[in-house]
Amino acid sequence: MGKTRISVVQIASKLGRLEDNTEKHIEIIRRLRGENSQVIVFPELSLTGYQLKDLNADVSQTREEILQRFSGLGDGPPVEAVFGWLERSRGGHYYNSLAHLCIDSSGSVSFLHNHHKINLPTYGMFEEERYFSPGKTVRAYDSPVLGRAGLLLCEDMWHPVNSLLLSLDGPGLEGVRVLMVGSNSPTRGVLGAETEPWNVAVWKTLARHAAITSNCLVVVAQRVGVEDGFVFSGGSEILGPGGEVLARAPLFEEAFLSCDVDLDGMFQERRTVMPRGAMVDYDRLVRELGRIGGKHLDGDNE
Amino acid sequence: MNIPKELDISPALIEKILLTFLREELYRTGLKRAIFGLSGGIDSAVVCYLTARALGAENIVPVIMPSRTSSADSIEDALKCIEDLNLPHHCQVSVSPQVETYFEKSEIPKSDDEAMMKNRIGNKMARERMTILYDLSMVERALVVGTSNKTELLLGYGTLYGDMASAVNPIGDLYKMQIYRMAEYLGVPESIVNKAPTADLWAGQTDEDQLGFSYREVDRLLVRMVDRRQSDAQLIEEGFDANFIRTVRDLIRGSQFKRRLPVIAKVSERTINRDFNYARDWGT
Repeated sequence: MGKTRISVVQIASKLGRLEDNTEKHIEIIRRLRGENSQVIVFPELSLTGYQLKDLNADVSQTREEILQRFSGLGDGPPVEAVFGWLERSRGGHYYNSLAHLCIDSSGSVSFLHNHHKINLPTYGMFEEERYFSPGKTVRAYDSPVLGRAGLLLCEDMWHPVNSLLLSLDGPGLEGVRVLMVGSNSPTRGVLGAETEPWNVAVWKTLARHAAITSNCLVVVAQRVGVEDGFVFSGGSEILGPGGEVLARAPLFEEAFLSCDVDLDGMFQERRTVMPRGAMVDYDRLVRELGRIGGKHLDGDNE
Repeated sequence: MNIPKELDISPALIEKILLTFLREELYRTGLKRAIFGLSGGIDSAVVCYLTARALGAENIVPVIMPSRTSSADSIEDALKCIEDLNLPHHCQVSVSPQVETYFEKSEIPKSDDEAMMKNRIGNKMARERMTILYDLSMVERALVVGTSNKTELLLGYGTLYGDMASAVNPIGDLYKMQIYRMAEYLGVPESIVNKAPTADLWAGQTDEDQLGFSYREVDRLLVRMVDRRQSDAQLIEEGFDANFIRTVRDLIRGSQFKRRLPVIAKVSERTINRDFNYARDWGT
């Protein structure tokens, strides 16, 4: 079986410096493409930085502008790039987005998928709802390299319904083989912590939980760097579908992770351990969600 | 020092976070050096050890700024840090000449109220130190690093635009008990760790006498009040005295102004920090 090289780029983006950050992305994609990476995953808002506030108008882009920005990659092996950016819709909404671009051998660029962050944290130190509009859909899609794939952004992972939907969204309810997550996690929770802050421990649990319960490869790209006292933790990970850690980046410093994964073999092997999709009783799920949401469906009175 | 369990931290983990913070917040300004007041007390000693580790001993400029009322121990302890860390560079400037000139030789109104005069002189000294640090920061091409801890910031136990002024503060989210933990870990000289904390405002003054409670007591309360957001009823149930709770809540509320920028009267559509919102690290 052929192996797929997946890379995670743990970087510190500069706040509001779209040009500098784009240049850094292109340089890294070129370099990793030259090292035979087939999929390169960057963190949330990697093109813009996180605490954007009123910078929204200055750093937001349309999809056409994004394609233009990445149009100069030139000839080389085909490569797919996942990165965070701020989408400006025709209606004037700003979406915290994760793009999955396909760059072919001639350097021609197209969108495979774009995910709008669904769950915008607006509590404590977070104020995303003030500046961004929430996404409305969670959809799996097909990647030429990865097969069925899904994207989530940071807080989306804290709400298991999102990974559950992706785990079902495919032929025969088989769902995604690879879940890619972009995140910006500020360090916090040090009371009683021994080797890592609370947020890092939680992220390890969330990623492992998603890998096991969705039975998929999970790629988490975390950022590092500091913005106004937020020290972003890093600790990016690639986990196999049993939750096993295939690669993990250090905390607080820029790093690259690369993993050669036999995706077909991995899932063939997993079938002997845990059948994909077959354990989900779709009818029961819909019925119970309908009951909880007050929408009575046939068969809800059993 | 045995610190209460609810305040316990891993100093190695905190060090990693703070070194990252110091390097990134400093280097993004284009500067490579840090300047701060080194009093001989535990807070500035911890900042001294952290900045030396983060930036290199050659890139930090501790400034000792005693007054005539400072105890001899203070200067000696500050010098111990410099010697222990093998710092190639430091400054020493007395604040007494300018403070005495102001109070004794100028026409400013005096007061018979002894307590008020002590406070006025204490605040004036703190602000003199601030102006010295900001002045020297230009010649040293260094960023002013703050040395206020979370306990004193919450209680308002500091001088606005004096010792509370800085460009970046690595220890402002650590309670005093946690500062002790960091000091032991970083190897701050024992004479600094073991002595009673003092702002050195007048001879024999100690923080705990002036505040009326110990840092241990107040930190145990603050971590519940601020971090866990416990109600008064819950705090009383845990054995905290109702008057103590009220005193501390009043101190926090009454000093809120010290933790914010000045209030701006809103008249336009886009007022600074209300509708004109940018992170401080914008563009870096």
